[in-house]
Amino acid sequence: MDDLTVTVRMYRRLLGDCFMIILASGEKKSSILIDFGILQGTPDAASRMKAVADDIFKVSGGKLDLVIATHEHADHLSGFGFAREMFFDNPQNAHVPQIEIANLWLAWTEKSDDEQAKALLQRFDKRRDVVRRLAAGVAAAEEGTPFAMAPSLALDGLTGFLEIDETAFGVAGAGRLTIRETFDKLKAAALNTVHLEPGDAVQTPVIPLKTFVLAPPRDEKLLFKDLPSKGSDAETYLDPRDGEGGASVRQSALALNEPLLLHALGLSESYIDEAGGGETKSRSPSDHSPFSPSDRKIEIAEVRGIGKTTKRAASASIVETQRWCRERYFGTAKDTKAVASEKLRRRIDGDWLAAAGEFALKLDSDTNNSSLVLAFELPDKTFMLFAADAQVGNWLSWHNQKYADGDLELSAKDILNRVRFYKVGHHGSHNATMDKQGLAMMSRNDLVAMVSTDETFALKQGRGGGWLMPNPRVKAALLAATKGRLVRGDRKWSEDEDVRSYPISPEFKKRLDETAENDLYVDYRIFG
Amino acid sequence: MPRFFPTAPQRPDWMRRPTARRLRVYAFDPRASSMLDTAVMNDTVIELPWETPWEDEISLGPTNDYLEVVDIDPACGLFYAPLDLNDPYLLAQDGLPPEEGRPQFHQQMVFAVAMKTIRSFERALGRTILWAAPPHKGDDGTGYTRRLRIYPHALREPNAYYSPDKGALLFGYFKPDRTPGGEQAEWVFTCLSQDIIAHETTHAILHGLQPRTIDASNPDMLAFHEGFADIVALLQHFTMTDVLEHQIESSAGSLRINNLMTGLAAQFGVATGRNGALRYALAMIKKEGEIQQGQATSATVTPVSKLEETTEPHARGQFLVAAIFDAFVAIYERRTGDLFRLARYSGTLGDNMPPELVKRLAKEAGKAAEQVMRMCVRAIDYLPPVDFTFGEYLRALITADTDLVPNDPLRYRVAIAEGFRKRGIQVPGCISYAPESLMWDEPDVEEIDALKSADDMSGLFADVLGKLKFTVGFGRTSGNSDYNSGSETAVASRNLRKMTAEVVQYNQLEIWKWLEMPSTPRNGKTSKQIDRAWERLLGVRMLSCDLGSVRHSRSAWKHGKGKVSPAVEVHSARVARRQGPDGQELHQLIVQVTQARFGLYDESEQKVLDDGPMHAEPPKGDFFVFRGGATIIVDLRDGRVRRVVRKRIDDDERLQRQRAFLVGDPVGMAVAGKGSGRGVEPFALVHRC
Repeated sequence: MDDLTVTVRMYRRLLGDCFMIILASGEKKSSILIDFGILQGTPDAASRMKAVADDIFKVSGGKLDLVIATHEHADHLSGFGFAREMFFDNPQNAHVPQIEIANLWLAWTEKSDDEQAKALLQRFDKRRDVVRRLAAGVAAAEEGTPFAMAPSLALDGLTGFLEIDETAFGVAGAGRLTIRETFDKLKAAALNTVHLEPGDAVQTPVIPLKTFVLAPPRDEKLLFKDLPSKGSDAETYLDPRDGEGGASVRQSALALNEPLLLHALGLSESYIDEAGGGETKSRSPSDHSPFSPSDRKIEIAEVRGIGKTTKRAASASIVETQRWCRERYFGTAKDTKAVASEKLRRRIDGDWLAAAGEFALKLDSDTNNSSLVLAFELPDKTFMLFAADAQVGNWLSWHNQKYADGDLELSAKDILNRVRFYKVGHHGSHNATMDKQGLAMMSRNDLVAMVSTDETFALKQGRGGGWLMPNPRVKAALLAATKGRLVRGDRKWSEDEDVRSYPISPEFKKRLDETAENDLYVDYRIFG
Repeated sequence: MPRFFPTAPQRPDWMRRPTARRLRVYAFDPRASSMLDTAVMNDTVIELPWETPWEDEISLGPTNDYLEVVDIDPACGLFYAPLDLNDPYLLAQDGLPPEEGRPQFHQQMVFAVAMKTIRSFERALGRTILWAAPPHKGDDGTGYTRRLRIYPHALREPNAYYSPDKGALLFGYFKPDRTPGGEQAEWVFTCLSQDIIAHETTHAILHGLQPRTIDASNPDMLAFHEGFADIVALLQHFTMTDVLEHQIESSAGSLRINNLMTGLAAQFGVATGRNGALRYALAMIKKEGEIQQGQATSATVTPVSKLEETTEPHARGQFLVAAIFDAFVAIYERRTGDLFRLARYSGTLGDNMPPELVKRLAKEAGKAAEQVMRMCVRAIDYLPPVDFTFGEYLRALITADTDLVPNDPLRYRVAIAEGFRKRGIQVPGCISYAPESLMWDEPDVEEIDALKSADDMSGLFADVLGKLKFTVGFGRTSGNSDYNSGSETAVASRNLRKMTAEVVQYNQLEIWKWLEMPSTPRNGKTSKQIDRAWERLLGVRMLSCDLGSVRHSRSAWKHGKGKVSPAVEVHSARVARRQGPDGQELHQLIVQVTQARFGLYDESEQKVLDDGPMHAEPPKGDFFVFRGGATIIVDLRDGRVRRVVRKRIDDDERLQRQRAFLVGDPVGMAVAGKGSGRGVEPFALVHRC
């Protein structure tokens, strides 16, 4: 293996992950595909994914020795759906190049006979169900529901999910695959499927590289920890003074709204966490009011006189108050048209639902923690770390097990100390690159990082200022740790003003190849 | 329980109305009550003038002429019963005592503080506050928002905002997991913070004064809104004498210490993970001081952010806050230097301050705050109606103050200009920060040669002045019976504020008609020549159709069918009566004229649009609205046009700057881009992520 070369190829100009590891040694060649996806809602997603698929075919010669699917998100897997006829559904005699998958690596969470995996899957399904209901509730808001009154922009966080409904989930006619179907198809197509556990050590096929499995963890506490701890315990690069941006504050605000959002969807408030068919606590939304029961007598439903008949013989003063509230807020039949429309305009039934978009994102982002995280060992005992979309809990879990390396036992710290290539977590977002337990340990001074992002497109996602990908603080930390050897998906390294101030060795420039046609990908030869 | 006060109780003649309605509130927020050293002074009373005979009586809600509190909690599916401030039990004890767990106390406090803010604006402006007009016809089709609505429990999140679309203030409440100090977390109600209420009310007032201030056409527009709202909230701290005395004593007479007086929204700040208040007026100044003394190291102190690098509106607004608060403190220090020397007081903490000195210092601080507040508020009238910057606000402030108070013996204006200069706020077009060079220019008589009449400037506006109403009148006048109270009986129950709004609407319409109609030929000048001169003076197109991207009138009623002309909007036509400190009176008409022009993101396409015919409908595809216009200030003592503060509609450089701002800046995109602004809440208390 003296003449081994290892090249990492990142497909460019998309918000999503598509990476290839291209190995060559003497006559032998091998290619590994790690994720193949693009964010839903990207313009010309299909043609862009097909261009990538064509390149995958060219590089692999129609045979991928290994495909790694890190987790159940469209921006990591949707490419298989867009290019399905190249991977799975080969129409007879069609002139479509075929790509064969020899090996498939998945996380233990995809094991069909694993009790924990099954329960987890159910929980994720319920979450997705809630997200879909939220998106559907907003899309087809019925008169009288708070969704009909929700300010449009505030629900922007949901637009991404709306498009799931229209495309990926719209099975009829669209011919696209759901992410779950993608997994099933991959398993069926691959000649050999391996499920990986944290702490496993495995070898890549054809040209063996020892590979350690860092995550996802079995510990569900960590599996559902998305956001950094508060104050001095903070694990990420969030500025604790960011206060209102402070993730924990938003998290507690979300916790306040979660049961009420579920109510608004007609679900029980413990729907997500309850076991199937189990008993549910029956609380009404008014139980969530901070005021005492004696202040909770004027229910909106009664004031409007819909759906509810007065349970108790209300006192005269309550009836009088209800009448006042109805006239002032909802209006009466006596109102002129102008007055009625004015009253409607000034209602705020839906403003509190601004939390819905964020809630959906949170539910959705739990899936990121089920990311399969791998460290590939190069012959010089350094590592390439692929962190997928791992968030706080996932990162923390790496340190909870040892990694057997022959007679030696490595700790996560040992591995991180020797990382020479880092695939940045979750497109550079704020909670997917740990500080002390992560990047700070990647102390080699020849560290190179690649981040798959599209900053401009990310800013158009979500509400308010959009998604910061990369987050400015994470970006600054990455630039410092790599001394400017940060390669981005959305711009050429050679044209990146951010790296200009760092002295760069000619060696790095020699190994970086940005000459691909149409800027389709960037190559970095990490070894040999 | 709610009850209705009899509307016309039989009272003997000698029984007079009370002068004030007293309502108990927290001086800051509930947090100050739970801490031993501040608890003593946190219960305070706001005195609101009792309703006059020409205002509506306070009723359930509370509801009055300006506000209506509607306490709905949509997330929990509840209404909380409205408070009746006229209940004798409440009248006898200054309203409900402060209590976090009583929603009706929340209604009382949010009402009282919002009213207090309104009254202090009215004092400074010399006229009644009117809310921004609704997007369409509004209340009963009058096109006028009678009352600002307040929802004390609208949201369950750490936020609060003024919603221009709904004409409402929405307050949130929340419960943090735990406080950084590990204290038991409590519910936090934003409607119980004086600062947050004053801040949000200010947004609403400012929007009513200057309808176009919510257009984010440059980085300063929304930042101005935020900074200004913070300044008002801060300066209002100094109106509470007992609190002020307490704090002055504990800070040894200094206003440069971070404490309750100089911080905003302490409870909210702590609950959202800060070590103290949400924002401090002097945070930046303190850092500047440290850096000058060489104490700051990059590891421990964040470098002071630069104005040009700060785009988030709240952060950028802090430059304005620091500039003005610094000036305020400098004024206070100048006013009290002699007192410190007379009392031979060292000004060090721990040295007991003589109680007489405390009282005198508090008085001076209160007076300085009141004066600075008036200066800041009056300046609003002198702003261009659209697209202004911090530097232009400084010019407006200096000009407005000079017009009212020609002498400035205590050099307030210098202090304020100095405050702006130290924050690095640029004033384009001025040679220095000396107050004289910051003044807006008077209209150039040479430029408007065609408008000259026998007595020069005073004739300029004479045509239209004769048609306007300068006060609410009595009796029927010349066919306009709908804004006058026709008969004697109506006088007894008339609502002055509503009638004022009608007068404003009437004047707006008259001025608009006058602008739209071709001028009468005069002094040998043709109608066209006079109109051209007006266009140059106001910076808008009125009859010339040479700029295709200017929006044109849909109803070209005046030129006959099929003819088009540029659309001009008259936003406000208000009469202000102001009194200076020495009794000087100023009587002015303030008119805002604006115009819209369609902006395209591509310069060459813009050129095509500019050179083409005019459109009423926006162009297809992505576009933005670029506005120009002028604020006209007429001295009503002699009818002279004193100032024309304009932003030209044909200023292509400004158009280019707005385009760059919209394209290059994600903050601007999020608020102003995407064509429509519906559903956006630009005034959230904190920037939502």
